[in-house]
Amino acid sequence: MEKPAYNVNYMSKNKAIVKFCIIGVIVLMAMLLCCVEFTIPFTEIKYVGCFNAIKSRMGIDLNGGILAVYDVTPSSDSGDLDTEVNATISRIQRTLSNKNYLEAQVTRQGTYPNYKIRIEVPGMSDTTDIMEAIGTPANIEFMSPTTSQPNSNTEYDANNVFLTGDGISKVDVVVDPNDATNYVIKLTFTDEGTAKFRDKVSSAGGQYMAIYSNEKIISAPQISSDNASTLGADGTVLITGTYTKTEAEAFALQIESGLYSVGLTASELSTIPATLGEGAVLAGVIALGIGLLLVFAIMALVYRDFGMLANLSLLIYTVIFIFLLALIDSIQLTLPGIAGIILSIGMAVDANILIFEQIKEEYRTGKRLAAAVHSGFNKSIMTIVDANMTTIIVSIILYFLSDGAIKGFAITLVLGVVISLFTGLVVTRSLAKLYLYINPDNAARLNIKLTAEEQAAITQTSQKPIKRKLNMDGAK
Amino acid sequence: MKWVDKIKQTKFDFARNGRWFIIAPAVILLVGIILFCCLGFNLGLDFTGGAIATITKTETVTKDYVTAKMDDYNIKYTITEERSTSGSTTFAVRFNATSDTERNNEILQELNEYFGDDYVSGDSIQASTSNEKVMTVFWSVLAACVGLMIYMLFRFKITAGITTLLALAHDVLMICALMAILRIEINTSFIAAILTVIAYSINNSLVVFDRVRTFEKNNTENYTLDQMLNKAISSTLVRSILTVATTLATLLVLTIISLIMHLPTLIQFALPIILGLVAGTYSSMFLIAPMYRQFEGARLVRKQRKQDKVK
Repeated sequence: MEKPAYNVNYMSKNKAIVKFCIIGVIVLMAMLLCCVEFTIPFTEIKYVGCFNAIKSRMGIDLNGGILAVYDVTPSSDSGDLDTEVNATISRIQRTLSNKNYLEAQVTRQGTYPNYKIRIEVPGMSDTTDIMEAIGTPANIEFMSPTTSQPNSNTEYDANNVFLTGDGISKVDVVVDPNDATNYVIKLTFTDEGTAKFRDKVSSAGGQYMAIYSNEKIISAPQISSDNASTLGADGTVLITGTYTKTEAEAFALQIESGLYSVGLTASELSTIPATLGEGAVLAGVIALGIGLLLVFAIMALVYRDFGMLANLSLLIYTVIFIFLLALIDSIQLTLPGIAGIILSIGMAVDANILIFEQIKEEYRTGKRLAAAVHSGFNKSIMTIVDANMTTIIVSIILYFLSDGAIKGFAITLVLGVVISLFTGLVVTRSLAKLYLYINPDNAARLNIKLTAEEQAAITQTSQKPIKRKLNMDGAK
Repeated sequence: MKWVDKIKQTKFDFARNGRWFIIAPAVILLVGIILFCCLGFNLGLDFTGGAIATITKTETVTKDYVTAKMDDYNIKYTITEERSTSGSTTFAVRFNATSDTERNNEILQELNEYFGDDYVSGDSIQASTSNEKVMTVFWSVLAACVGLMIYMLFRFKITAGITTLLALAHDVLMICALMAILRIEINTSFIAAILTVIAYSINNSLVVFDRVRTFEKNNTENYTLDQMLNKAISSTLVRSILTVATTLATLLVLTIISLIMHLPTLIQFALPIILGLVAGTYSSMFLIAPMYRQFEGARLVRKQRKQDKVK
């Protein structure tokens, strides 16, 4: 004898209805939790509600942000200004992404040689934040080693400069290898920078090397005579000193902003409104809301009771999606992100449609309803997994290879697809099982229309009594 | 529902009418290419750059204060406005006269004269979406296609993989052609629209090939390749229509609301997706089967010849 697929304990119709009601109440409460905002009683913790959390992380196109325009002063050495400005732009972009302002836009403004750099950062509300994020730009220069220790009165001499910010590719703050409570700054040189640095340092043990920023001395470390011959050979060098973590970070930022190939002075700082126009968010929310209602209506019309199950599962999907969007800090919602959401809602509905079509087909081959539901789910799993896996693969590749807004698209899409796999294959399935206790064999309630011969086959099977108590798999 | 099941029982021959189905896309593509060569795309400020003028009025005024003047020029422009707490209103007007850059400076000059003291600053501005960015997206999409192909090699036949990529190319080409024909403005949001259509296209093809795979594995009724394809398409018809209808519903609502609220940027976002969805549905219904039939048929013939040689 075949092992029954649904080895269930019998549940009365009323009990199943009560369970549905409980699920409904939970979903309604979860939906309420998305919108409200309150302080949790007896604690100081403030619950901001999902919508507020998401709104605070919306991109510049939906929610506005900070605009800064910097005037460009060409660097002293006569390099190609266009190249220098572009290098500075990508450096600022990188600095901002490292600080998690993924959607920041940095563009060139003005004409040669009066360039300006325009920076738009979403999610910032205070104009001073941008200064903090990209630093107060200053140039950095390394002086040829001297035997006497330079001090703050030592005069700046441009002729002594042997290495500028161009030679540095990265600035990090690391824990002092000799003293775990202390922090040091690690500079990584470019190949050219390494060569220049080695050239000067390898024979200068015991001498002092002054580091200048904006023609002011910021540090004058002594080159240890023990390791002068190997110093900087691996392309990195540590600037040691007694720094706390905050001090080291501030110093690192100062150096990092000194790496900009051109001098920058802020000429305009202001808050800007949403670039897509006021009301873009409102329009999007209304459209998504009406769109969902239309989807609910279509599903209910086409699949009747099962359509309602799909709608309940889609509601659960929406609630989980909203909670996760609110929870995951690194998601900044912009228009492409919304495209990802619309697309993944479509795919969530698609999973349900695939399953229900399969169930109909199974039922037409003469299976009992419960058996048709069971094999309908099993047979559509592979289809749904394949369709969704390809989407996940494509989005993951997009995420790692592209930047800014496209990353937002990839994240929301992956998130949506993973949730839809869960709601489609687990939630809808559990709901369908529960539903079968309420209606074990009335296929008319699922809008399944049969041809005459199919009807005959069904009539034949349905003449056998249903052993509801034992086995929901039903006889073929 | 009666019509739902009627659709499924269609006896229409999807596999062998490829030469008719290709006509519509071919015509659209041709017209698109001609228009693209003559006029190019209708590129927006995100891609072309242009000029920006900042105008501040010390009292609260509506956009009309600026649009009244800007409309005279008959050029592309966007306005963002901000009201400060002190009651003043600031407009950032970005515009581009497509003819030449000199004209932008002339217009800035004229705006300066027209708005007088309210005119704060004017400057030329670089495209916010550089070619470099577009190329990054292009290469990552290409890499994603390679990833998709590798996955399909494991799960499906290679011919199915090739057909999926061709269908995807069709869908993307169709939106580009339609954008050139309908002269819809292309801005950064177009990239998001293309990506959405790509994901949809892959999804559509996979569902059909999943059916074909099931038939191929378990061919008890000795269907021919054509019969299998026709059955696969007709049994997924309802699903294709419903899925596309549910997504189109949301996008159409978005378009209508954007029209009412005057949000051209959102329309520029929704329209390409709508066009792409229609193109994607068309290719998954009418183009996949004839293409797969050609590739798979050729593969089977080659396989047969090899076997004959061995014998």
